[in-house]
Amino acid sequence: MLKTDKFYHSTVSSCDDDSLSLKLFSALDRQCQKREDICQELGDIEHFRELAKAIRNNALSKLDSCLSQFTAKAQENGVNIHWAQTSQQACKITAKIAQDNNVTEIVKSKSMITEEIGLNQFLKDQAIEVIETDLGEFIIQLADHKPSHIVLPAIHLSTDDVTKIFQDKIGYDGPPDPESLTKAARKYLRDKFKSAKMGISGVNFAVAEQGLWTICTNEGNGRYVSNKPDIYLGIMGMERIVEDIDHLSVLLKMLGRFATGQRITQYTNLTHGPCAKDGPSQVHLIILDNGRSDILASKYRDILRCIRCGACLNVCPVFRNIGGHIFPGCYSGPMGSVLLPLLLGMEKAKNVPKACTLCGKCTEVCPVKIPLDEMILELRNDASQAKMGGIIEKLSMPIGAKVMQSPFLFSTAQKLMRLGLKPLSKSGWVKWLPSIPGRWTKVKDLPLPAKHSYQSEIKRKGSGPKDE
Amino acid sequence: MDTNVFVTCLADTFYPQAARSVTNLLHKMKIKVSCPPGQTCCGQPMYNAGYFKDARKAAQSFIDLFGNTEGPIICPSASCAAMVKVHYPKLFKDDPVMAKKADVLSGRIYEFTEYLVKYAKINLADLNAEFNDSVTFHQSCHFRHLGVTDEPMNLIKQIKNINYIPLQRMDQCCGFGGTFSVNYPHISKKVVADKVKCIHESGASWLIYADAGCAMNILGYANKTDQPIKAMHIAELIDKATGDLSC
Amino acid sequence: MNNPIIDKIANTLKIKPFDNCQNPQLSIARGRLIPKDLTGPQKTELFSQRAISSGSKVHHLKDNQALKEKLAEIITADKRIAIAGGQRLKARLSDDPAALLPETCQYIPAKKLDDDSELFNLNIAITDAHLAIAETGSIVLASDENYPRLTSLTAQSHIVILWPDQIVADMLDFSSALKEQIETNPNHSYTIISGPSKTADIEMKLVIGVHGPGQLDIIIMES
Repeated sequence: MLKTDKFYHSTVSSCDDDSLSLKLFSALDRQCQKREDICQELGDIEHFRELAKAIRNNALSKLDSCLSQFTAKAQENGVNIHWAQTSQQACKITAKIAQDNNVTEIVKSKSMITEEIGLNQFLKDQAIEVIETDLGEFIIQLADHKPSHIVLPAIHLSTDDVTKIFQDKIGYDGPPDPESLTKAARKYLRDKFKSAKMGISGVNFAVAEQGLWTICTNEGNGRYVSNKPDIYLGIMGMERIVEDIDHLSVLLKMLGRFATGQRITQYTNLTHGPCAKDGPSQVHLIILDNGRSDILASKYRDILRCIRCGACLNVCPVFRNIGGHIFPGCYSGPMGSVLLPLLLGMEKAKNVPKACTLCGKCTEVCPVKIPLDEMILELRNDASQAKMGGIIEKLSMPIGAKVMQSPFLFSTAQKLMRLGLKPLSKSGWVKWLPSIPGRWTKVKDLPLPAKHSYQSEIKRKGSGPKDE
Repeated sequence: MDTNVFVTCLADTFYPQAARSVTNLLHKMKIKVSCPPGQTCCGQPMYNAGYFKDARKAAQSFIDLFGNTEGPIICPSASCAAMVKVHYPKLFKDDPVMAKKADVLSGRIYEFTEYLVKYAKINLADLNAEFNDSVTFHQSCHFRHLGVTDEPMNLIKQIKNINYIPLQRMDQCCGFGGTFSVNYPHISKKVVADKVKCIHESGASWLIYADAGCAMNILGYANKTDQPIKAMHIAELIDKATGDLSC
Repeated sequence: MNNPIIDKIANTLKIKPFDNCQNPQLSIARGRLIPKDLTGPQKTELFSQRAISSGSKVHHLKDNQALKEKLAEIITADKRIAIAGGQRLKARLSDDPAALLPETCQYIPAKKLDDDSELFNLNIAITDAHLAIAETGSIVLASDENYPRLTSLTAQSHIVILWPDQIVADMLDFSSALKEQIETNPNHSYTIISGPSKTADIEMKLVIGVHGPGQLDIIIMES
């Protein structure tokens, strides 16, 4: 039932907060404009989307051999490879690496996969402190929020909000402006970069042939966590791989342009392995499944092409009003609406794919051409077949189908509707209805059906030219 | 070639003038048009709610009815046209007999402006179209699935004396989304509120729309919140602009 | 070596292969945005344009004298300066880069930088570049056993000295160059730097110099 669903209720409170949509609209409009402007340089954008899709599909179609080649090469380069089937395993491996090296403090760059596996909490329970170093993630870590956008995690907070958080948590006493706040975070985090013995990052792309992987950041924290501490750990979803470095080049062109409207992010690190004099002496990489191999076997495998650029979130009319931190997992917006039911199970996220108008804008902007709206539809169908579609829809849809199958029932329904609504209407509008239809009239008036439907009209008068 | 009008359930029930204008205009263009009797709905409401089995039943009726006709099928709705064109073949992909029929109809269906521009290659100037007022246009989402982009605007711009004012975020969804609007009315309300705001900010006298669903949603919200909008379907606009041709 | 995850993937792909999966290698060249046959000056021009648009400052200098003057202009008194890739720079400049620094600044030699208090207290990092990419206005640093890349991150300001022949046109030229190098010398990590450190995490307001330098000066020497 929608009414008892936590996600549903969160959408209500998000919608009640007008300041949230104001913040989201202004930020996301800007983000979209930047993407559109820079994508003009691609000329034939469609061609590039096709190419990026082919590159991702190519890797997925031979994922087993890509991963084998990658891990062999990386091991040759001195990287310790770890495989994790579940979130729990990945967290345990991380904790063990830290404990084996007496690490109690870890600096981490922004990584959705560590959010996915709940790494920070797990390590905290083991008395290992993780410090988020991306400014947005740092802010929400202090505030104990979840990321509200996969690329712009603190987009739901205003400058004043951030000032308040910094005052409460790190003793900030400067003015409430982004510049000064950023400087304060810089100062605070530089000490952590100095002292932390271990760094963790996600992986944007791993390159099978060369055994390299990339971390893209604009702030430079990705460089710090992978270069400064003695121990560096990358955590990657097993699908984040491309066949060779040329493929990486093309995807980097797409990621920067579609994520933030940049030709490339300010810093792109290509990590090769340990390098005692100029980098960590110990390098680890966890390759995580956590349901991805099941997705690969399902009809939703196209979602594994996702490069986490967030373009689909930016254009989504629903996301723009509810934001991301109410989703039942770290992913949000259209890609989250597809991924969450697959990662968490339908039961936990069945109402998420329903919060979509199916406008298809997400699919239109996806750099790797994931048919997001089609997948959302397919998930709705899965939910209804698993009897998770909600009682009202379950009852009304077959009735609707019956009516649509019979012209007689259809025209009768039209007439009855007008008859029933007429007494409730004023100047052609129905302002109140009970029960389920009341969900419509609570926010919108309903037009009264026309006196004669078009079909009944031509039945009476024929379909010749009319001049009324 | 003869054409057929698919009225669509929402236009048939709530906005018959849209369908009337489609027929009128085709008459003016000297194109023979018929409206096969016994039309209901393309099945999109069930399909979009994720009830493919029920959607197939409604789709079956559509296919049976229009499968017996010939020539282009024109409908004053981007989303219904997309349903037939894009989603029918997918809906019947496991049923070879129906899939074949669905494919045929998929090739025959046209959204109204798509038909005028891509098929009939009309130029409204040739029909002396004229409209002395300002308009703005809401681009229905499902034009995307049809591969229609600027076609409706280009048609509007062919009308003499019209003052076309582009709508801010013109291709952003109005928040209707079928069952979405009753499942999540509070989100739908916020989405449509932005649409109505943009429409008023455009300063245009008329909102031109291409889908009855969008119209119900946008105008229903505008009426509820006492910020009424004068609106008409793009077929009505063109019908009005081309006047009563005595031919 | 048996790996249950890879086995599962292999099994899935065997039962359910991807169809119509064309090899993107065939069309990867079509991922090019900048023509390969740009002339040297065109590449330099495009590189400068794009580096500037992502927030870098670009200086075109004729000779070592001009370099010395430019450094004196950028580097004001009392600055603590590190130079990475000094040997390579020396070879190309036929001059010790440290000798080109203004006398008032303090040169920090590499061996001192093992000490974090020195490393994190740099005002300026001067580096050479391994490569530069015109398409994105980026410079590329390679890891160096003799000198940490980190100076270019910890310093408040980063000055890069490069030559036009180091500029490649497109990201794809960068990757093919890298491919060759990795084959002959695989032991390098790389950092692509495309401008000063920046963020827009607070209300989308652009702030320069978050964790890395707030200024990136790119000096292009005449060949």
